[in-house]
Amino acid sequence: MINDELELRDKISKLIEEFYHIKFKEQKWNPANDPVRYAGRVFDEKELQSLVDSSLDFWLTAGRYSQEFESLFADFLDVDYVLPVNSGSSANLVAFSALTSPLLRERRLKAGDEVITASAGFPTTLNPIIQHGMIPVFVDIKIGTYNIDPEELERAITPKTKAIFLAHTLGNPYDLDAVMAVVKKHNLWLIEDCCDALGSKYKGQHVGTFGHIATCSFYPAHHITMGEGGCIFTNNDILAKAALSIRDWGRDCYCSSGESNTCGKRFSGTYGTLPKGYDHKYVYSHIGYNLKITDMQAAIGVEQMKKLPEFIKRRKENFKAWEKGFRKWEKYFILPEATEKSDPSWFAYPVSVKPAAGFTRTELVSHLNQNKIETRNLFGGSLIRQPAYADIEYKVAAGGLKNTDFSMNNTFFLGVYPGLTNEMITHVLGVIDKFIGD
Amino acid sequence: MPNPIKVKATVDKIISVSHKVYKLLLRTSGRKQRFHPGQFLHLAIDDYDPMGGFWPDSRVFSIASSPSSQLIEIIYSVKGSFTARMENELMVSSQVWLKLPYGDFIINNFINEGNNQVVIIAGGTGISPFIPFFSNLNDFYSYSKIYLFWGVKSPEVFSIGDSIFSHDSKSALNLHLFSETEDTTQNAYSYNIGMLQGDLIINAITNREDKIYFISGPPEMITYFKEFLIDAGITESKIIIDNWE
Repeated sequence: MINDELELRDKISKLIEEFYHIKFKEQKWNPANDPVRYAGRVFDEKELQSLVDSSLDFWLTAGRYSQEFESLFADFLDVDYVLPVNSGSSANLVAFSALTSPLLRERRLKAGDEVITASAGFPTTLNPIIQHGMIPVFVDIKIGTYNIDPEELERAITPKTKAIFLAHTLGNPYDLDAVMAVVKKHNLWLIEDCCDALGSKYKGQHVGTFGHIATCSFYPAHHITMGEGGCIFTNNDILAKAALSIRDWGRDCYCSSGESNTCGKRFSGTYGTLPKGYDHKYVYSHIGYNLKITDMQAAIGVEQMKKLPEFIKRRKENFKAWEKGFRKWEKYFILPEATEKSDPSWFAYPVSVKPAAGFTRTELVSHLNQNKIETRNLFGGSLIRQPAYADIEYKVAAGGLKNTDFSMNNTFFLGVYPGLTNEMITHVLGVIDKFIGD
Repeated sequence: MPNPIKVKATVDKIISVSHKVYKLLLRTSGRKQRFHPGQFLHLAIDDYDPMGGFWPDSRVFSIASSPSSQLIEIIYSVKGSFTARMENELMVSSQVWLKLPYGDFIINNFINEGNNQVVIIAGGTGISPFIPFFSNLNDFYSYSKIYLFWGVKSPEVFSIGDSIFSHDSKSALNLHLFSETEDTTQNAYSYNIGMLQGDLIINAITNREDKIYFISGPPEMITYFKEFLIDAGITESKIIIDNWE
C-alpha cells in the first residue's frame, strides 16, 4: 500500500511519462497533409510532470517553482531581479509603468514626455507610452535588420525626450553601442523589449542587460513558454521595487502569497496620511495591477529553461538553413542581416519582397498559405496606420518612416522554432522555388 | 541574486559576543546567496515544507556578512521569546530556514545618487547592516566620506565590527565609538565612555545639512536620533532608518 506522499508523487510522475508517450507520440510529418507552422510549443514529459507536480502542491500562486524559475532565469542572464508576469505585454506595461514611479523622484516619467520607439513592431511596446499620456516619437527602421536606424535616433531627440522603448526585432539586437551612447548623452531611460530575443547577444552580452529594465515573453511562439507568461528583469533596485509593487496591485508590502510581516514592521510604519501603524499589507504606493503568474506556469518554465540552450541552438540552425536556401533568390528578396557585433537568438527568418520581383508579398504568402505553410507579417506593419491609433498624438523623427512603410508592404517572416525540421524547410523552399518558377 | 528565495541552512558556528549577544554563522545548501549590503533576512527555527507549506514563524535580522562570503552571518541579542528560542535551541549543525534578501536599506544606492558623504549611527547590534557595506569598500576615498557613530552597552560588543577596523584605508574613517560601561581588560578599541548622544554627533560634523544619515538600532534609539536630527535642521528625506517591530 502506498501511503507516503512522495511515493505517490513518484507514481503519478511515472504515469505522466507513459501518458505523454501515448498522447504526444511523435508522428512523422507528412508534407501532403501536415502544415508547416511558424512557431509552436516544444516540450516533453518533463514539462507535464513538473506541471502536475506543482498542481499536487495546490499552492497555485507563486511558490517553489516560481522561485526556481526566477533563479534559473536570473542566472542565465546574470541579472539581479526577475519578476514573472502573465504575458510579455504585461511585462512591457509594468516595466514602463515602473519608470513613472514616485520612487524615481525628479527622474520619473510624466504625461507629456516624449518616448522614442518604432512604428514597425508589436502594439504592446507602444501601448504603455500612450496609456501613460506620453508622446511616442517614431524612428524609421533599416530594411534587413528591421531595427531602428541609429543615425535617425539622434534626430528624434528634443528637450522633452525622456526614454527609449524599443524591441530587438525578431531576435536581432539593435545597435546597442549607438543606442547607449544616445541614452548616456541625453540621460534617458532605456527599456529593452526582449520578448522575441531571449538569448540574443550583443558584443557577447545578453540583450536586456544594457538598458535600465527589460522584458521577455513566454507565449508559446517564443523562445520558451509557460502557455501565457512573461517577465521583467533588471539590475536596478529601485525599478525592481517599483515593478514588483505595480505587478502586485500597487501595494507597498512585498510579502509573498500566504506570508505576513516580511518587512518586519507591518504595524509600525507611517504611510501617506494614513494613521501610524496602518496594516502594511494594505498600503499602496503605486497605482498597480495584478499580473502575477501561477506556480503551475512557473513549473513549465523551469523545464523550458533547462532546454533553452538547445532551443537557441536549433533556432540558429534553422535560420542558417533558410539563409542557405534563400541565397539564390537575392534577385527577388532582401535577406535579413544580423546587426554588426551581434549574435541573434532568432525569433524568425524575415525577408522582404523586392519591388522588381515580379510578384508581391501578398501573392507569395497567399500561395504559401494554400500549401499549409504559415508565415507572418512583421507584426503591425506600421502601427500608426492601424485603426486603433488613428487618434493618438505622436511625432515622427525628421527622416520619416519610408522603410517602415516598405516593410509594411513587402516583409514577411518564416519560423525558425525548434520544432521546425530540415525536411519542412526543404519542402517550403521547394514550394517557393516552384512559385518563382511559375 | 536579490530575488528573494527560501533556503535551508545549517548552523556552522555560534559565537558568544557578550552577555546575551551572539553571532550566528549559517551555511546554505546550493548556490551562494546574493544580496546587497544593508539587506535583511528572515530566520525560521521550525521546519518549512516547500511543497505547499506555509512559512513558519520567523524573525528579521540584518545580514552581517559580506556578499562574497560563503557563510551568512547574523548578530542577535536575546530580547524576546523568538531570540530566547534561538539561544536555547540552536546548536552547531541545527537546521533553520532562511528567506532572503529583503529591504532597501542599501547605502550604495544613496551614495550612487550623488550624496557625497554619509553619517552612520548605530546602536549595539544595529551595526550589522553596515558591516557588509564596509567589507565591500576598499579605498581610502570611500572611507573618507563616512562618519561612523556607534554606541554599545559594553565594549566587547565592538568585536563584531572587527572587519570595519582592520583595513589600512580605514584610518580615513571618521570614527566615534561609545560604550556605556568600561572594561579595562578590553583595550583593543579606543572608545568614549558614556551613551551616544545627538549633540555629540551634531557637534562632530561639519556641513551637516549636506550629508545623508543612516540610523540602525533599537526602535527607541532610532526615534530619538531621527527626531534630534530633524530638530537640528536635517531634512527628513536625508534620514534613512532601518527599524523593525
